[in-house]
Amino acid sequence: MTQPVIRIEHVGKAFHRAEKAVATRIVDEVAGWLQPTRKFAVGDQFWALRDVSLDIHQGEVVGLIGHNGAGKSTLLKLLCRILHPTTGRIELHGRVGSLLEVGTGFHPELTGRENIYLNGAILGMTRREIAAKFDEIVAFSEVEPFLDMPVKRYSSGMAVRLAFSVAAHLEPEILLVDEVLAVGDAEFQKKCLGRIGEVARSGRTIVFVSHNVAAVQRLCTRAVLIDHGRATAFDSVAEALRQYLSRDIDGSVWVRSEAPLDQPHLERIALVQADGKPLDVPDSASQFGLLIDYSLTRPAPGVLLAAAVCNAYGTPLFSTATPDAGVALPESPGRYRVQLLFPKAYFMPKRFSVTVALYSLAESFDRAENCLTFDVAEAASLATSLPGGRWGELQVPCGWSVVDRPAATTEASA
Amino acid sequence: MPSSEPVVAASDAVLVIDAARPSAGVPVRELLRHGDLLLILAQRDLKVRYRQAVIGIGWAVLRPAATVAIVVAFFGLLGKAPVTGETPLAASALVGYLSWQLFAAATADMSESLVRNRHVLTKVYFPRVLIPLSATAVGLVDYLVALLPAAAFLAWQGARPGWPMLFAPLWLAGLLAAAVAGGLLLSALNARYRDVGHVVPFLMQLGFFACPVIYESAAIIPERYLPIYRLNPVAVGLDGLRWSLVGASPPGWTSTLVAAALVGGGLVFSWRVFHWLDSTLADRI
Repeated sequence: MTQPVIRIEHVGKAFHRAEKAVATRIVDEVAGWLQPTRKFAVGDQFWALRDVSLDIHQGEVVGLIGHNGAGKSTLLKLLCRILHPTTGRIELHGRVGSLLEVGTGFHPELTGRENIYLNGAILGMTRREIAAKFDEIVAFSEVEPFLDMPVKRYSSGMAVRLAFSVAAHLEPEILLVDEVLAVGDAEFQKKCLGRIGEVARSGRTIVFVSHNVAAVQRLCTRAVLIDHGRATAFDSVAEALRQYLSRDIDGSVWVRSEAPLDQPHLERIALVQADGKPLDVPDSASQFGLLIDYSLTRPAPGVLLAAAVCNAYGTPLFSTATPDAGVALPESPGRYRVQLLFPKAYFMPKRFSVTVALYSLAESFDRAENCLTFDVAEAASLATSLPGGRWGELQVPCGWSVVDRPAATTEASA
Repeated sequence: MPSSEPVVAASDAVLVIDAARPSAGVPVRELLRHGDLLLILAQRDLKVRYRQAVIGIGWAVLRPAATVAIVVAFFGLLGKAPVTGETPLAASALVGYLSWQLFAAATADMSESLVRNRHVLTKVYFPRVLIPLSATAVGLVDYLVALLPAAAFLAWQGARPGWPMLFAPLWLAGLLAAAVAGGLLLSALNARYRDVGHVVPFLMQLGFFACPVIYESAAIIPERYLPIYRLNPVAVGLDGLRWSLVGASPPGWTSTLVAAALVGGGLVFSWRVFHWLDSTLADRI
């Protein structure tokens, strides 16, 4: 086996837990030295990562999955050298490019052209490299007519396209990507995924942190599940995703813990029966759905809600959005509640997870990835006792009928 | 479309990140590789500073002019100019003020540079020392912009080129080095302990009077205290520049050598402390 391109050995990272436990003023630090028993002296530590060991070989696309706070971004930041490990050792063979955010360092007063050089240099390209790729970067971003205007005049879409275009032309041997796909509209996300796919096909090594299980499934050759600071590597991406999704099983209500201040956002999503009452375990014969509470903090023309249902392995099965049903959501600021009903008797007795997104045609507001995972119980009515079991995850109404069959005139025989 | 030729083999660059050995200092080779970034960061600060302000460049000349005028008026009223020999007060004050401004602006800008750039620090890696180093650009350019009118003024006031002028770049480099030593230390400390940033403007204000900015040290400080006073490398630098450009009394060789040693030692110390604090910089900034 060839030498791994990334070798992570017994790496751990500890942070001091509370603000109060760490001296943020010199006066306090000195006081801590003089009186070791004071509260500032020894903060209690929080281990974001513990004893993580991993070998990644060239050409692999490794997905880091796990719940918020599990330590995925911390691991990525350690690989990027932004954070320094508390224990352990990391070896990186090859030039590293990191994409934790699109447009890092962009300054609104500078023009698009100047920001291309600035962002490119910050990401690690030399001036010569940027100059060589300049025309391609501009073409890819489609902001040519506005190139010499200050970026503060750009629409958010243009700025994001420009920023991504610079990042897309990074050509490191090892690429580290963190949920960059969470910004921008669907079109843009497709472009991002496409680019990452190309980089993967060209033989580079990629480490990719994401909540987007469909993307992980499509792009990754291996997956690592991070849970409470510990990492488990899986050779099968499907198995890793299955374990990731199965941890949520007792949640039939999802509540957004930190609401972004002035961005329209989702607040609460609950699994409900057809009449709106809360539901714990739906069954395969019933009709159930979601109750979605959300808040618009500013007028949102063209706002819509969409929900996608995935199976236990993270494969998206179907999606539905308010325009499909001809429903127009109120566009003025306020707090609203929407009920989504799935078709009656639509699910097989399996496990599913649901992702809900709030957006408008111009902008993506909020997204709750795999916010609810539920098992559908088997109801008696379903003919599931076929020899060999039933395939498929959805009950799709099809028409079966017995029809006349014309009598055979001649039977061809041996 | 971006090219997507298959990558041949990984380059033989190996990077080892070891918890047991936080960086003792970035090897100079790596810093040189980021030379472009240093220049681009400096350019960014300069463009942002000068682009919107109409007065921008003019300010670099207006401030010293106004200060010198006030100093001359003030000491005129007082009746005694704080200069030695026949040195014109206006010239002496101008040289002192411009040089002090370079030192003070560089130090202050460096001290807040890491905090101001915290967003970039937590999203991308490059040797962090580039940030405070690039922050000296604005102070430097302000100085260079004021240099031409200042030289004209000095010539008009009767300063004539002589061999002491050759030493001027040396004193300037020394002042800049002192600023870098102070700035590196302050930038790292400020990123870690936020109260340090509050102290810096106050220190600069004290420094304005404690250092021979508007006065010559030989004219104000009693002879027997001069060697102690000149333990301050900034005082030596300012007096040295005055001697080079305006013909005031020189700071003396002993003081100069001591100052050089202090600045050199200070640079090494600050560099070490900066890199020691560097490894936990992004944790808490």
